[in-house]
Amino acid sequence: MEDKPHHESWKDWLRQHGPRLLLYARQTTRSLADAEDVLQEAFIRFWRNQRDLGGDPLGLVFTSIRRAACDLARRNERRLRREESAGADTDGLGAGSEPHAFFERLDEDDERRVAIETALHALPAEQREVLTLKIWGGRTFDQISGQLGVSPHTVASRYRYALEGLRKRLTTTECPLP
Amino acid sequence: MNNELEELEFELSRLRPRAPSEFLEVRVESALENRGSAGRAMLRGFAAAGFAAVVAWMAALSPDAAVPGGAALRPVVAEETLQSAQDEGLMTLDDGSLAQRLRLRYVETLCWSGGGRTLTWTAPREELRILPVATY
Repeated sequence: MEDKPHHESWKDWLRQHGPRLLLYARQTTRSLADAEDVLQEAFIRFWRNQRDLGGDPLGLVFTSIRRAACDLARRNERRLRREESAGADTDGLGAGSEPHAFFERLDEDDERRVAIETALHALPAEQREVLTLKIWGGRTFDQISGQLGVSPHTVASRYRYALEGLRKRLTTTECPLP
Repeated sequence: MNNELEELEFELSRLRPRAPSEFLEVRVESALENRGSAGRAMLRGFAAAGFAAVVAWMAALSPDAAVPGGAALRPVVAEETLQSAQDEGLMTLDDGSLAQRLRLRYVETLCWSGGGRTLTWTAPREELRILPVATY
């Protein structure tokens, strides 16, 4: 990757990892626009200052996203307190169909994808975060443990609870009581 | 883990997260390309603010910074003022959609006060905004 021209290499990297990073950013922010802001900040920090450090580049960006999301949440809280009466829409990327979707549409059985997203939204944030990092982020329990600062056992528990929570919600959704 | 959960795990893994918007790539490109000019703008700002401002900036490294004389300084003002907004016209993104390019120039001001002394730090900040243009 380093042999390619600079502008192409960062685009390649972002195109390869952008979807999973954005999905994670969306678990830690309130809107798609906020998630892209956070991803931009984390990626630029990584590309300018951290990419030559070696180690685990994806882990660095996941960690930066989490930190940037916390900073943004604090700024938003202050701003919302100031602008509460204005009622501004914080999601600037509302154009197009289903702008808030986490995943690409499925050619077959897209209702199932919608049901999964709905169930995902309903999970506790710490379970959703672990599930996202493990399944779509491609991280191991040990890597997630290091990133979140909790034990691998806790990570594994949250992951299992998340799967069970999803299964329960999806079963309830698909088999409503009369 | 039981089979049911493993099946769900497999099903989830087949879902593909949505890619970031075209705008993100444009914004990143702009930020990476403007790194040099932004740095130079900051240096010009420091020069204009003068030696006193640089001393104040160093004091900002600590929220309650001490100055000669022993008095502690506390931050009292943090604000930014929009100096100009320049419409740089329309641009075409990679996906063929139109976007408007705006260049905003701010002056950021931080002020500390304490013990009858006031220190002020000012610096210019330039922001490039790429805004989607809706067509009907």
